Amino acid sequence: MLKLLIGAALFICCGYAGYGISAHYRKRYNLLVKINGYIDALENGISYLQNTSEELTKGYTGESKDDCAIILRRYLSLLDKGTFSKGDCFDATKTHLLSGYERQILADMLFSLGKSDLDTQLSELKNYRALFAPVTESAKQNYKKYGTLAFKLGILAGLAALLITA
Amino acid sequence: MITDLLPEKISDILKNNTDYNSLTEVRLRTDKPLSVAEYGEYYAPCDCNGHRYFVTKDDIEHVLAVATKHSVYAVNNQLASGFLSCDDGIRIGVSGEGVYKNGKLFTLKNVSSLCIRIPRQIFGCASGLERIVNDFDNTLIISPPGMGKTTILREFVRILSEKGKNVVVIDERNELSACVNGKPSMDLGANTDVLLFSSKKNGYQDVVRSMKPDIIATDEIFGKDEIACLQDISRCGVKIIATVHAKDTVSLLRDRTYCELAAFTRYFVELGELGKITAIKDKEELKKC
Repeated sequence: MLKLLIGAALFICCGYAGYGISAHYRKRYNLLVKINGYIDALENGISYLQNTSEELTKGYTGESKDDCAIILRRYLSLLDKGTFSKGDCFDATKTHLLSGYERQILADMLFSLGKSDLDTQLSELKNYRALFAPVTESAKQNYKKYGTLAFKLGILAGLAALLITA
Repeated sequence: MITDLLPEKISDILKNNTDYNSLTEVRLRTDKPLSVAEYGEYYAPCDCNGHRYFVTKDDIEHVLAVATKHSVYAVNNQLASGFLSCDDGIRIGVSGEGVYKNGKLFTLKNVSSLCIRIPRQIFGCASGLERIVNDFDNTLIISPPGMGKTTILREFVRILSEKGKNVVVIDERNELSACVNGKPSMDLGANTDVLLFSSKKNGYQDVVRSMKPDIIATDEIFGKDEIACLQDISRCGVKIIATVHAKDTVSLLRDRTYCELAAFTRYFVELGELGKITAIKDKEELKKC
């Protein structure tokens, strides 16, 4: 009976670890999709009604509690502060889901937001979209490949542990 | 509130030294002492140690960032025209280095001075204008800058609107209506429509065609083009109230450009002191004389 319980515990642990790794890939992909969506929202809002970056950011985050919304809320609090540095923006992008390079791009984008005229702003956003596109595509592939694999391996490892201990 | 615009240090100095209700202007010049005006009287307020506060470049950048709501793209045209319009009708005059693009002033950089003007609504300040209200015709409010032309115009608009006239305010710089999210925060009367941030020239054409106004009100007429537009509107049968910078009626009409205003203006209201109507000149009466 004890062996069966240990086996079940190992099964749960392995399954959970697999699920955790898979969730990391999924969250990372979702975050990048959301960032791309944010760039879309900025482009649309700026080019047509020329709404302020604060209004657009608030409109995009809404009541959402996802990782992107958390980062953008940190950015909104910087806007409330008045002036802020690139370093502050980099700190605002803190998340384990993005690499240092990706955080830097996002921080640069947030820092440059609203600091230039309409044409320059739109062309800058286009450039940032181009920088995020390959990263998002790669995150999608990784999620499909490793995310599902990690989950399956977790379940398999759990089953193996269960069989061995039982 | 003006304190939302200013850096904390300056806000604290204003809190300790000034009466917000009488504050009309705050001037920030890089490396120069902070200067404020209460009802037109300037002075340099001191910090808690009794020293004058010297404005830094960071202070100016802070005000610009907050005033533009971190969105220069949305206000670049205003900036190129040397001003920024903020919530509550606060207007910031901006001076710095002009940047040209295709031969036109495109924007300003290295901003060195800001003149923050706080609008006031003073009910009853146009009480001397009942005569014009009862027999309304094209009216010009004349005074040098900072004498309260806009405040009187605002009150005049409110009175006419409450009398049932359809008034359209062409508010190029959001000074008259002080709109926040498209809604006027100043009381302009029940029958007033506001056309915000539209150039006078475009505004006149659009408004006459689309809004069928009895009266068009606008602030600070400047230059030949605007006078020509006013003349055109007057020809359409729409009445006009406007303000113009000049010492008095005589000096205004002596000017080659502005003398054309006499062709269609009936009343000339002169402000000699802050918010005080010193003379109302009726062209019809002058003719009789």
